[in-house]
Amino acid sequence: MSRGKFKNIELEQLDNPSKKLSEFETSEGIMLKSRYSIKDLDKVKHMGFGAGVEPFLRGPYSSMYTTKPWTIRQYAGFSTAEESNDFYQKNLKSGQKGLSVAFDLATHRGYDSDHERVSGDVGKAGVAIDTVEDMKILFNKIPLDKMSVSMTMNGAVLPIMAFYIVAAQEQGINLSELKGTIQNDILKEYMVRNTYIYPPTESMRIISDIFKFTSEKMPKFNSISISGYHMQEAGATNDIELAYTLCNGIEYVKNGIKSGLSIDEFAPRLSFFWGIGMNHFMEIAKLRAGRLLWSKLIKKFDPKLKKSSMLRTHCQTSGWSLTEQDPFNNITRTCIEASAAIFGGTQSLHTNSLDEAIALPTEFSSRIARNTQLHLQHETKITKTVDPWGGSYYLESLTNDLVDKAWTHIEEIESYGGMTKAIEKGIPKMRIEQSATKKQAKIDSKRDIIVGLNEFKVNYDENIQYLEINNKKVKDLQLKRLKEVKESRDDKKVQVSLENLTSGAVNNENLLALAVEAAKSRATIGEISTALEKVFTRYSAKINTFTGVYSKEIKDDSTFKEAIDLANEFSDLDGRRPRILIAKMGQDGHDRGAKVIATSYADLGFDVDIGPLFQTPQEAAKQAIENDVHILGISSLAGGHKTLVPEVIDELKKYKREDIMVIVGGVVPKQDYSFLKDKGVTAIFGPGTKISETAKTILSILMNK
Amino acid sequence: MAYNLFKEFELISEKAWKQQIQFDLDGKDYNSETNWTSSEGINVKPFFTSEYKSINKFYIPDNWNISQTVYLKEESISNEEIKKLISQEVYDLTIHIQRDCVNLDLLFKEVDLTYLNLYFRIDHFKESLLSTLNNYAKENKTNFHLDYDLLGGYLSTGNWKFSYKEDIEIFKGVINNLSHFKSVVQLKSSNFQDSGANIIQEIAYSMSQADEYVNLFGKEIIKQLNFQIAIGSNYFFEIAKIQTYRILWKTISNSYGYPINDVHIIATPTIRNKTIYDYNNNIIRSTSECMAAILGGANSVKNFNYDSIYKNENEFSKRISRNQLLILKHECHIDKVKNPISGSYYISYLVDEISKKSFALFKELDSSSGFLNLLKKGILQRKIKESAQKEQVNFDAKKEILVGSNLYLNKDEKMNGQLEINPFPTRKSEKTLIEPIIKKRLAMLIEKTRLKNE
Repeated sequence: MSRGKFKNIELEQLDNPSKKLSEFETSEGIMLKSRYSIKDLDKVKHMGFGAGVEPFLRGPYSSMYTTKPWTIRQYAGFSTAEESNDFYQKNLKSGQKGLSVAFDLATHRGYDSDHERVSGDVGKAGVAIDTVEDMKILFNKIPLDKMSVSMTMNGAVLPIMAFYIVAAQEQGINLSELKGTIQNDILKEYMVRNTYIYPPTESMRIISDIFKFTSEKMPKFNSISISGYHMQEAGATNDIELAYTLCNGIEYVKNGIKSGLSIDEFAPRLSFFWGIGMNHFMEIAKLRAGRLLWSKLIKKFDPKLKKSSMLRTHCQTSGWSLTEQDPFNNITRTCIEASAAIFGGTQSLHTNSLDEAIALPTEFSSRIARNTQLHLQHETKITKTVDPWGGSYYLESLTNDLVDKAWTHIEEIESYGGMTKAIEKGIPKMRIEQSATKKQAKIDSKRDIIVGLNEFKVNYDENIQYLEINNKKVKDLQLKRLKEVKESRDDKKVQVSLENLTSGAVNNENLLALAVEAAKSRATIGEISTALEKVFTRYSAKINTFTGVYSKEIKDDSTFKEAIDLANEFSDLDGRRPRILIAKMGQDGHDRGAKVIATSYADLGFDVDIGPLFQTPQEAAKQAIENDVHILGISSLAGGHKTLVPEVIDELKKYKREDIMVIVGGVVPKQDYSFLKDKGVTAIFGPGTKISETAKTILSILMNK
Repeated sequence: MAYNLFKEFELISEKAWKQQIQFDLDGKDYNSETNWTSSEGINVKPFFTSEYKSINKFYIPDNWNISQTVYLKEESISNEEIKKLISQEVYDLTIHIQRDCVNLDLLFKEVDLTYLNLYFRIDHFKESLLSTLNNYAKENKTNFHLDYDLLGGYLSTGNWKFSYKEDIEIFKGVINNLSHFKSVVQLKSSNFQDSGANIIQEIAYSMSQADEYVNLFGKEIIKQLNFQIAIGSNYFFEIAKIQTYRILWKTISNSYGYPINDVHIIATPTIRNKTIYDYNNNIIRSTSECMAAILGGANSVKNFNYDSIYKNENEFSKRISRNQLLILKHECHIDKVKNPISGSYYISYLVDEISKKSFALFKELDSSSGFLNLLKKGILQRKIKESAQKEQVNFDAKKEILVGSNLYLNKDEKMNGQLEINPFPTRKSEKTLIEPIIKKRLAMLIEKTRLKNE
């Protein structure tokens, strides 16, 4: 054989395969071709933009992760201030630079821990804070001038900001040194999550007061984090998440300008928060499209500073995409999602733990979650160049399509006169719920496949120990401390500060400044909230329902048809249609599940009543009896089930209506099933149960009675 | 949308972007702060723009398959297993036959073979066994392949099975006997990756090995050769690597008059970066590796079971590793569009660099003395060792990181008592014809010490 026979050979070029394959329609309604080519860039309007300069297509910073990787920021919530503080101190020692606070539901909604409406909520899903004394314990030995604190708070934003400020002052720290972020994104609360207190207009007034106060006194503090994450978690598609979040941002900007600030005084401190789901390239496109659109939208306000139109963001992988079934699969999901956030150019990231679909993370699971980011940061070399997917015909085309879709939504919201108006009409909320229902139907009909959930199932349970919060212990501790504070404070001073708040609400004084005074006098979160409620009132949302979305997506499914037949059979037997009340109790405002169930059950032929949000067990039982329902369905997502469900059953017994069948759906760890069944619950449906299947189960039980 | 939303913004030139970075660096050095040179000597700049799109034609197959291995037991039992795997969408199956005969009618009872790729790994080349397989392939619509790499076996053990001459003759006979097989060589490029060769070496050596097959067995073997490659953690380089295999093999095969545009590539995560401590990190690692394999355009992906370096094969980890691929297939839509890599400036640049560099090295090997001679002289072994050693030094100095092994350790973790198999395989000290190329995990030394000190 001859040596050197390749000496003059040149490299060949590959040929692209040319077989036509079917197109794929995304949930956003974008048609994906099977292959993209340079021709697809013809319609793309953003080619040639870079990073670090407007419109920030390829990243907010010019060199991105090559000089500084994203910040690993894991969100953590513990039930008491002491426990949280311990955890923060541990993390500080291992070099963590920022901390993230989750509050319990009672705190979110502005109730003291001893309020009758929050019996099941204290210490659930986060830390309970009643007064500045709790806040001082939370930040004990944590130098607030050095530590960046991120607080997820939207409803009770005034008292919480006030407690934080006073805690810092009493640490001897100058306000101008405080750094961190408060979520303060109230508009999305009216669309999803529902942890608001006051009506939209009044809430927007509070936000301007916070903007004014912080831009003057706390220049390093991010006064708002505009969040699409919760919309995605509630089932919004990416175009909706993108558009509505940017619309919310614009609404805050207009509000800030209306209150007399210039765009450059506050826009550089606005930050965003995206959810990152499983459609990998769509998520990358979303982050890029978001930066483009924000630049475009801010341009109208004629900013002088580059930072004013630069979209910086935090991201969190999707909890929605995780499954309770075969939880180790969640490691893979989270890794795929995390990499999308990074390819999109996020500034910080939270990766979910494999058990986050069902409970707060344990030490074991949070280690894996954190390692996912460490792996991507240190092992894969994906940080070595800016926007590594830039130029990809598919990604650029998708970015363009998403920009166009979002722009249409933005124009629609503008046509209503902005987001506050659109919210008052209930439009965004309904759109998101429709999108969630569609998603559910796609899963139930297996058009969307979720491994371990609707396909490739296994018949055994992974033995995972979930973290459980002892609600009663937390509550006792909070009540004790609340009593101590109340006994040792000067009640007169408290009264004066609260009256000032009430009159300040009428007279357009800065409410954050007044709340700080009230916090100093040791007024409680409940007292401060009530002082404002006297003027602002407490908001209760109208319940909009819709029908036909679920059935349209699933009509060919056999279980769906069987469930309808059973419902008809039941009506023939009983003389009326099966009637169900879907109730949400406690301060848990995550109502996507309840809404999806309600509309789907209606499509299956049930008479459906939806209870108002935030019911007490007594109110829920009463409504069930008054409406004479066959079934009371309780939707629980925030861990209050072990307290609230037994109470509602006791209440039904009191009225001798044990015949009303109680079922529970939502996030309930398997380890609690037998407890609930012992208390009288007929059936429990965990996350991912097919809706038509649940209906069949219920109807069969009812008819066998 | 008819009008241009972004017309008020200016496009950025390369020069302006660089200046912006220099401005933002505030006096720090541009090159050292933002440029990175890989162990292959490839320079990665902080940004790539449309100036880097020399290579835009990629071959990405219409489909990729999930692959798994079946160890042949009693036919009826293995038949059940195969059917179960097919229900889990495993359409590429390696069937390991450790005996001399097999009843294929029983083994494939009620199995539709038309859309499956079956790779037979055969321990003993008995003529009767071969003709059973070949006849079955002839009489049925099948895609049968032989999972065999004669030269790979030689370089990884250091010895021929019998002798150079005999082995060649036997394999010639095998090729003749398996005339209805789609392929008869599965060239294990993973031998190079797993032992610490860098990407350029790996590709050049693999091509050199493939070319040696042509020299030994004639041009016809070109159409009957697949590559089995290991995917490392350098995400975009690995994506580019798969395309480079295709480009180089097309070039080489074309020079023989048999241009192969669509060589069959079986990808599998590397074992090099897998660890026994924080073993769940292996799930994370193989997720990004399988993703890179799919995006890079592999035909078939066989995943790594996260605990396989220290535990016996078990259903749980087998399922998790299959589920990783099922999630990649069904949930994240990365293959709805087949060619996301087309147009990417960075990937184009990498494919261009890697293919030029590896082809240059291939030519160099070709004009010196050819694959088997290089092995005999120990040159390839030395080069790989040097590369592996360089990586090991970087690992020890914590410049190369494995999370949980040399950084961010979980100090409470104990592995003693959990090891069902030896995670540090030792070689029998037998005399070999050549120095074998041995697979070696980066974390082995560190793990040994840590186990001792637990």
